[in-house]
Amino acid sequence: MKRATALVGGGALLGVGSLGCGKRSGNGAPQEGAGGSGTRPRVAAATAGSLAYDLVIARKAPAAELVRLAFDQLGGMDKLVRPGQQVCLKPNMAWAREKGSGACTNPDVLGAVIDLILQAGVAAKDIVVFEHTRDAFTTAASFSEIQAVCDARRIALVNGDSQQVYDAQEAPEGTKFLKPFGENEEVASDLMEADVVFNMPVLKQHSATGLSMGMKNLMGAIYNPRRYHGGKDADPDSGSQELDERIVDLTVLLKPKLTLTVLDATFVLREAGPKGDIGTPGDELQTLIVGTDPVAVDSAGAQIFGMAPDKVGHVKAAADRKVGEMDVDKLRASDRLAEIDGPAGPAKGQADADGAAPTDSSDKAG
Amino acid sequence: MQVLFLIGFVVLLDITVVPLPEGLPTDLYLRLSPLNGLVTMLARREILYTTLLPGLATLLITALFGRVFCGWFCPMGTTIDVFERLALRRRRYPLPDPKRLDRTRPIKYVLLTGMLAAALLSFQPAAFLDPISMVHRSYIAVVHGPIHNLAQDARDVAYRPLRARGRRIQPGAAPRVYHLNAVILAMWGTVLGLSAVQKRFWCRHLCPLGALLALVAHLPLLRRRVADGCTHCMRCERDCKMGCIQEKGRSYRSRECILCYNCESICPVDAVSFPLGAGPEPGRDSSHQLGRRRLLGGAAAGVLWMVGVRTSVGHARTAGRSDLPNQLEENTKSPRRIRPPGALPERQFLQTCIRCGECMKVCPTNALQPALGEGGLEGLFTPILVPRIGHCEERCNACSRVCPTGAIQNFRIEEKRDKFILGKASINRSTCRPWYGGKKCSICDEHCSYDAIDTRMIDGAERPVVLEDKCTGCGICERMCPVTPVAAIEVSARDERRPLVDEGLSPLSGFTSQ
Repeated sequence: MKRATALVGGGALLGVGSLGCGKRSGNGAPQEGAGGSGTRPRVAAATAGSLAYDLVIARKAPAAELVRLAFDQLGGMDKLVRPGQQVCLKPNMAWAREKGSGACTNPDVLGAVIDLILQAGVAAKDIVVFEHTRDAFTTAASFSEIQAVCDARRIALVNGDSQQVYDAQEAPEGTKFLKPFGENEEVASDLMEADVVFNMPVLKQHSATGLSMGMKNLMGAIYNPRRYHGGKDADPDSGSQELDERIVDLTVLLKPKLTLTVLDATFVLREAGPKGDIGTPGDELQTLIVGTDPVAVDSAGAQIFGMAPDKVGHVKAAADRKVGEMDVDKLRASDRLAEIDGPAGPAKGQADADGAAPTDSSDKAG
Repeated sequence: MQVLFLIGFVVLLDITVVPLPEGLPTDLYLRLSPLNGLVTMLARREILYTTLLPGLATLLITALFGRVFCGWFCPMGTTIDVFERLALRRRRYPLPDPKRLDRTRPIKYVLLTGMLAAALLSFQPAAFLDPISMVHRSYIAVVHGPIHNLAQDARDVAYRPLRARGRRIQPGAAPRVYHLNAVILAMWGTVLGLSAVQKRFWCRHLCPLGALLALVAHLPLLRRRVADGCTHCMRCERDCKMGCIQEKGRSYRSRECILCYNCESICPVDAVSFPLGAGPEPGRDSSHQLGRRRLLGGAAAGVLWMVGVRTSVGHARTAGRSDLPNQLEENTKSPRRIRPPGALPERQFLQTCIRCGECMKVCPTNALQPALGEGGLEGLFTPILVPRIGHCEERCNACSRVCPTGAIQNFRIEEKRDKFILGKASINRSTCRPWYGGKKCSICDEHCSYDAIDTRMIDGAERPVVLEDKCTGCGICERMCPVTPVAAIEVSARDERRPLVDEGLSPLSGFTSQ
């Protein structure tokens, strides 16, 4: 009976949903002049090109200040969003964990980004925060304080529990697991239909993938992340690489949609990730990495954490498949980049290098 | 007014969700049933203020004013009235025959005797016969579930069109599942369906709560008076919900009268009134005087019922010491009989739980489900955790806050992880992908809230291992395991730990206080 109602609902939704979309591109456009589905990729590309940097790392300031610093350096929020555009933010709000634990995106970072978007003239009703949580949605939203942040700004925080808010996306060129088996990926329609998408992950240790950053956070924008851990129809030879390769597939699929990745390293969960124990505070690194290339942001994040990026399976796999640039030095990065392997990121073997020692480059070299 | 009370009941049920409203007694209707309180206290041999006080109020009101509870307040009674109004409106009931009624009316007193006898032997009988408990369970599983799911489907359908118009609603949440809703509906449907035979058949002949209230309702202050102008048109006698008017409308049974005021409003000559305090003596009523044979028969039936039900699980002896663990019970308990956190030790739990279903309604992950055979026949409809549906959310104590009897003890969220163990998870190495196929998977490890699963390098591959000392049996690993339909990691009630919460029950514990 459950399945039957779901199917009926799905059928009805297909009809009504497509109707609604058609109306939007037809009627919604005159209001602001932009927003038709055809123009979206160009908008994203154009804004990215006009930025001052491809990657910015802001450090040593309170969370809200970090956000302001980073976006100032990029050239301002005006370059990224325009009034009338639909904006989707995808934080990591998977768990019922407090601010400061490093398991979820810092609500202050999220709030500051929303404030900048609002100041750029985007209406609150055009901004949506989406997450498919792992713990129950209500507890995750309240413990992480992200519900409060959204409520205070009258922003919709959308619960991704319902399969019907996802749309199956065709596998693009360059995917390994999505394509050969004819699998489609069900991705949040709020994300796919937005004009501007900010992926807003948190930097943390992860038991399955080593680290969880931007690419891994995209698994919270799909309906069935469970499948990533080796379905029965998966490639039998891939063995333990499958999860990493699938994360890369997802990045390939969603990269055209991602305007920016805002990697929160204000508090970093160093062990027992991705959820962490109750009451264990995150390592306060006071760092924010913002960039247009999801692989480069993750690579920088790994180095901030103190890990060589090529030791993180999915980052290495993404670089090998030329999805993005792992060598951060090859990008137009802000002048603060030279310091990233300094005090902010004491590598595990060299945690004592607490002072200003920006000379260490072993991580980057590796 | 009667409908208002039913609406109040539905509203209180409806708001029994996480996050729970502070300070609202979501279980008020359950506590107001003195039968629930009485049998639970008898079975537990303990004074439970939580259930005693509101129930006493009901008894007091009944002694003063008669069975207004049945006529106005009881959600089951109102549901029966509504059902008769809607489904049986064409039914023409014959004129009640007092003699025939008197033959069947005592059944409810016999059932009450049986319940009390069973309760005296530490058995909880409210699960089957208390109407308040039954009506909660029924509304939750049979009414709320489908309506909730329909509403979520509507949200799903409306989500995108509204979004396209710049209006945002939350898309549909996961559908609710209630196992056994067919069985629950069958019981409830029987109660309602009996109304085809006589009006309020359940209330007239079967309801043990009504019997308890009838015992104290002999000389209430509100009594029916018939003025001299009565034309003996028999309309009141024919239309009385309880069939308690006799002698051509002249007299009535105060124990049976539920003060619905039907007879007053339909009287064509306005001869019927219910003056406060000055009414005449009600008619003779002896149906509550069971006589020795029926009294003993009822008690014996209660004892047999208790023994029979108990035989379905491994109780060594029904009169054994309930405070000590019993080996037969331990050995024969169903591995899937996983109780919610804060649940009393099993024997006390079975004695205390009235199977109202409030915990199942409030559970945010829908994990709590009515048991069929997992707790034996005695455990029918008691809550069990079904991890494949939902897990026990790490930072949630909602079920303990809504439990009206304290079968799930009220506890603080902070003490949850150290105090209670629902069971233990174990991995099936012949289905777990990293174990049998060398695949990389650590979903169980990722989701574990208690760091109780370790991914270790074993025989050349990373494989999950359960750390027994940390596992609390919350079931999130089993829920999320990608192996279907039987997960490769499963929770069983092995090594469950169900201590008593130190503070015990405060008078307000079930009222939704943090």
